[in-house]
Amino acid sequence: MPENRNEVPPVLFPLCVVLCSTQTMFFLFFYFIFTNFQIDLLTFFKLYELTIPPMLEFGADNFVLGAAPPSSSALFLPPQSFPPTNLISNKQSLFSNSREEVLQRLGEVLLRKSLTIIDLSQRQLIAADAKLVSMALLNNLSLTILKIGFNSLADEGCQALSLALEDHPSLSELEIGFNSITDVGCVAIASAIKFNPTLKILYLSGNAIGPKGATALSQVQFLECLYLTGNQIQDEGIAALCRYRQHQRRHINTNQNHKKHSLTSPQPNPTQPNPTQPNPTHTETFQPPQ
Amino acid sequence: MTKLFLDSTGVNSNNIVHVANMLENVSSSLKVLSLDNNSIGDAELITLAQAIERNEFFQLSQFELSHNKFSCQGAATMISTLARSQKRSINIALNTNQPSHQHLFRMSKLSLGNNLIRDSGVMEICKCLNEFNLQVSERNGYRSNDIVAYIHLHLCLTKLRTFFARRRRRTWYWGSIPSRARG
Repeated sequence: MPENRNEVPPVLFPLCVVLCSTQTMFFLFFYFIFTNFQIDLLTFFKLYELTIPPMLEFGADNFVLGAAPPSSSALFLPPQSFPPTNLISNKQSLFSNSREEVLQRLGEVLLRKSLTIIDLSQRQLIAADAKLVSMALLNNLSLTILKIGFNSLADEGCQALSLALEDHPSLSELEIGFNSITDVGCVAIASAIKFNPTLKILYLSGNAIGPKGATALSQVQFLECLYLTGNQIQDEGIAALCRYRQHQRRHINTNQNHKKHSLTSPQPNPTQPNPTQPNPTHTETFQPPQ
Repeated sequence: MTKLFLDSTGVNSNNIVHVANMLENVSSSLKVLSLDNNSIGDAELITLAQAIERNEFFQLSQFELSHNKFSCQGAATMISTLARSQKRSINIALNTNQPSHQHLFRMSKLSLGNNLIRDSGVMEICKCLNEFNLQVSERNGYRSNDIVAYIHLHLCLTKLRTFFARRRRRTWYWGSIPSRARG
């Protein structure tokens, strides 16, 4: 023990020196950055790749309620159900998450015609709100991504949406998972996008789609990714989707079959179709040979 | 369609025939097929493997089969089928003088986690992969080319991991010889 109690013990003295110097270094570092470069906190986070809340990635224009300029091309509303971190909470006050304000914001969107992304996931939307979404779709012909998953649109909402989906020229991704959609809504959407060449990705996971819906989806022509996780499509639906894939292969490789078999090789057995399940669009292709 | 996700859709022994027919006839455009969380047992997986073997154009890059009910028998059959598919594609590439590794079938991800594969199954899978690599490098002159870039075997390696941990600990204390070893 040291003789004078106010005196720092000599053992701890080097540690104090190190701590003081570290604090000084930190202070100088922040002072230098915030004064010389004149940057705000957000830019600082981006510069040093710290934990940035995902909403900030979209840029300031896109998430300030009621003040989005017409130049911004994305509407992003943060999800309500996920608890925000400390960083988000400051920004969260800008948009109170009530459904009325979401609809108000959506109404503002209707006036703008250059949006490319609309993300309205987990906004407690109901079937009646789907009309607004479909109007937004009709007004924004450059829209490429529409996310309205985790809502309660149900079949009525899907039917309202299908009107706008039918001839949309640029929509490539549609996410309507977890919306309590049954066969009726799925058939409405499938018939709307059946001949739409731009829509490539369709999320329908977590709904209550049955075999009829899956059969309707199997007839969609230009789809590339289909997410049907957690639906009860049953044997009939699985069979319809798998049959669709086979039909695609036959359709693609028709002109290559003659290249695979030479005249000397034995003739391949002709594929026998299943007479109970002919292809709905090209029945004549799958008739058994006379 | 390039990606088809049929997770949790009730694929079982009754409707696996449809999936097998699809895999048998599917073109190379299908890249991702997900059958997670269904009721695929050994018999069903062997049916799928046989269908894959019959398809010349099989080019799936991602095959998800986790959370099912198959054991090491089904998994080993699937791995060896994929190996044969890749060998076939190597032979085609050699016969047609195509640039190496350009048209080869190589799956990027095979997910087999959360099934009934135990340590013996994992060892069998490793054995299959090893044998295939040896065969390919000996016969065709190709350098060792894995069938699958990434096999997901989550919750299959519990005992093996413990074994390796023990080995590591033993290595750590190598300097101090245990009293039993001293005699």
